[in-house]
Amino acid sequence: MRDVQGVYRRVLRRETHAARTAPAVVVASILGLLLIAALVLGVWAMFDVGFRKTLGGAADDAIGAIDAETATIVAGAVLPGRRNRRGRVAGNAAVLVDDGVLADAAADRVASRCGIDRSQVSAVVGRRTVLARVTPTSGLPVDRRMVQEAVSEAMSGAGFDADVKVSVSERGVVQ
Amino acid sequence: MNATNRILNRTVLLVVGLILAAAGAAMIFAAARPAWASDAVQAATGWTERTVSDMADWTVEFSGAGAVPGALLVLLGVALVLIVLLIVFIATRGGGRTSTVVRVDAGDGSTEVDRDVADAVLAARLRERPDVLSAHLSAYRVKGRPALKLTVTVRQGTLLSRVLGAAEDAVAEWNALAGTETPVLVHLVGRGWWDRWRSATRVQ
Repeated sequence: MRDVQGVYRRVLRRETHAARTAPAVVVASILGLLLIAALVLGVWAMFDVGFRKTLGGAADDAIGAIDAETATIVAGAVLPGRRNRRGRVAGNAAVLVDDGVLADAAADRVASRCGIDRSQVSAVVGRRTVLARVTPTSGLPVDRRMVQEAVSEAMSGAGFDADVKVSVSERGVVQ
Repeated sequence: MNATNRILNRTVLLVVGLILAAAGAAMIFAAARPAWASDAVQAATGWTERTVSDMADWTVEFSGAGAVPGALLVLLGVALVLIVLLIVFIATRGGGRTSTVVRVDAGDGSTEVDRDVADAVLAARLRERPDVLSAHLSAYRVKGRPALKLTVTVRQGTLLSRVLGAAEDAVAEWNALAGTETPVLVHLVGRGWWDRWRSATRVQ
């Protein structure tokens, strides 16, 4: 029997982190073009002695222009690059859910549980916490605990748990 | 789930970034010449000038071009090798997709199952649900064996537990059909930014 759990672990780790393929390919392409340019100029310099003198100063300017991007490139190499998804292994499959989908599900659940319009609820799913923002209908108080339970239910329905924070705005809206 | 070597991606970024940072720092030092580092800057400039003048002495005679600095030839060779390596690097990104999802070797032959069969069993089952907008299946080789990725776009307001339950049932059915346990990744995605612009209602 093959190591299915090992495959799941590898796949979930890879799918929840950025591959850095796009920035690496962009950097490699720019570097390649610069090298081709250097090659052409170098061959030119081989056959044109006067050209060699002007080349040195131009190269310095080129390096200075690119240097502004350095911090971004190094950050791309070093930072973990987590994507807004979360995964778990469930029985015979691994499950990967985008945080936006979880936020939608949580907000839907809160709206139907509290009997308010879907447009009055918004949810943000972070890495560890879920923030639910509710704007109550004017004159009808919203039970914070009910909101919290609704969010937890939506999250556990997908198989994830999270620290729920509720924020109810002071002023209601008129429906 | 593709087979891109991510360590190599990051290595390229790190090496290029560090080279650029070093070049930038050297240029800033050379231009600003801060008092506390004047000795080091002077030593470095002296060393560079000496090396450059030593290198200039080493020339190669060409019939058409006269005396060509040998250092220039070496640099051109290095640039050529680097260009080839970079082309290889760009060409080897991605990959790892496969069209064979199951392979059973018997004594006198082997059976291969195509990706479309898995699509008909796993994705089509989810596609016909009203709370699923679209579902598609892709297959990759992970650790030398096929693994499936089932990407499901869910409708807003869906109970995720129901979609996941349906997906698990489909996977169980697929495993029973295939006779082996294939790793399956079920990925629930929302509507993209493009779909969000479209009207939510449709006239039947």
